Amino acid sequence: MNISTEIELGLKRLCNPALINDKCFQTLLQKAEKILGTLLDDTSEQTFDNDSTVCITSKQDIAKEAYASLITLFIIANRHCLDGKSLNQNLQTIVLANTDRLSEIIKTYESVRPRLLEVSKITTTSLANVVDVECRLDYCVQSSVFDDVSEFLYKVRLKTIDNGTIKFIDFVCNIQELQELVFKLKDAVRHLEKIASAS
Amino acid sequence: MSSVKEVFKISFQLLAQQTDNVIKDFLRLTKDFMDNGPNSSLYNKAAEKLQIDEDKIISIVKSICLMCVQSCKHKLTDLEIKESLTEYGFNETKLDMIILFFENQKPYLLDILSSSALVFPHFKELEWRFETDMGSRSLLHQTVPVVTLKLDLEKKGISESLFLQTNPLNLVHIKDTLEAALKQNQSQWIRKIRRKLK
Repeated sequence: MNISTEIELGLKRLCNPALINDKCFQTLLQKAEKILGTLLDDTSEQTFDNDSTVCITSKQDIAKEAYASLITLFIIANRHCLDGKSLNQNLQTIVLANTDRLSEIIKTYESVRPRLLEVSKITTTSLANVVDVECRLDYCVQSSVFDDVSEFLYKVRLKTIDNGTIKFIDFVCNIQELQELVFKLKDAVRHLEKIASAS
Repeated sequence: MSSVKEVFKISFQLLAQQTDNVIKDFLRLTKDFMDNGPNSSLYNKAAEKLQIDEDKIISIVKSICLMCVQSCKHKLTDLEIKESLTEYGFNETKLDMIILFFENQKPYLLDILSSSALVFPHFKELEWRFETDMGSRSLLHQTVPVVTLKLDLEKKGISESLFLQTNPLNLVHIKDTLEAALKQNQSQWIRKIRRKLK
């Protein structure tokens, strides 16, 4: 895990009680936990609430630097899939001290890690993701061209999520076509089950 | 100005009076009209040969064409066409010639008619590939199973490929939903509807 000197400095300052007092340290940790723990969460309020920033009594610029370093550290650690224990070792070599603050940082990291992991898994380039399907069976009686059509038509709608936006793909199948589609899907599922049971 | 119905009636009555060979010529002219559109020099020649107005020749050709299209639209059987044409005074051999011509043209006409109807994209083909995401910029080590799908849809002869992906759980869900929909087709309710609407 490579950490730039700027981040190293920020972390050292974060663990230095002379620069960041205990109350401020706690506030920064809580803020980091809140922000990272609710990433991409629609219901969470991503904006800064003033109540918590009021508590920052240490120097504002140092507090900001320390906060940014803390967030960056968590993201990088998560990127390398580090657990709390290995992050602790890394952090000790960076900060060159073993204060109580380290264990608090690790504790926060462990609490936000599941959400971070989830978010970083979906933060990637990918094709439109099919998440759901709807199906409707129509019986076409007549059309402007043919007096007597009399055929069953399945209207299939695939719900996809492409980079966060929901899109629908609509198409129709007659009975033979739907049979073929289901056959192909069954084939795929069968192969997946085979792979899953073999591993 | 006479209505389409009247023009049709007059044209077919005139056609019924012609000899077998002339009818054959008219059918040939109609085929040329269907394939290549109107051709005035051909109609001119025919008018001179038969001593009929060129306008009437054109009306006959268009009437045969209209008869074929309408028969396709209403899905008429050969017998029904014969019955409806008898009133214009055609004899059996002439009717057979017209029916034979219609049968030959039917597949093309149906093709053209279907393509001019309201068409949705149709399912054509599905290909799939099972993959595992091993790493990304935001997460260096991971094993996320992914099913990549290539869905081919066809609309009016033009096919379009869509590249999609899903996870195994969603794939099973899609399969289950569509399989259930397919089974629904066999239910009593659907059978009842089909019987009532036929």
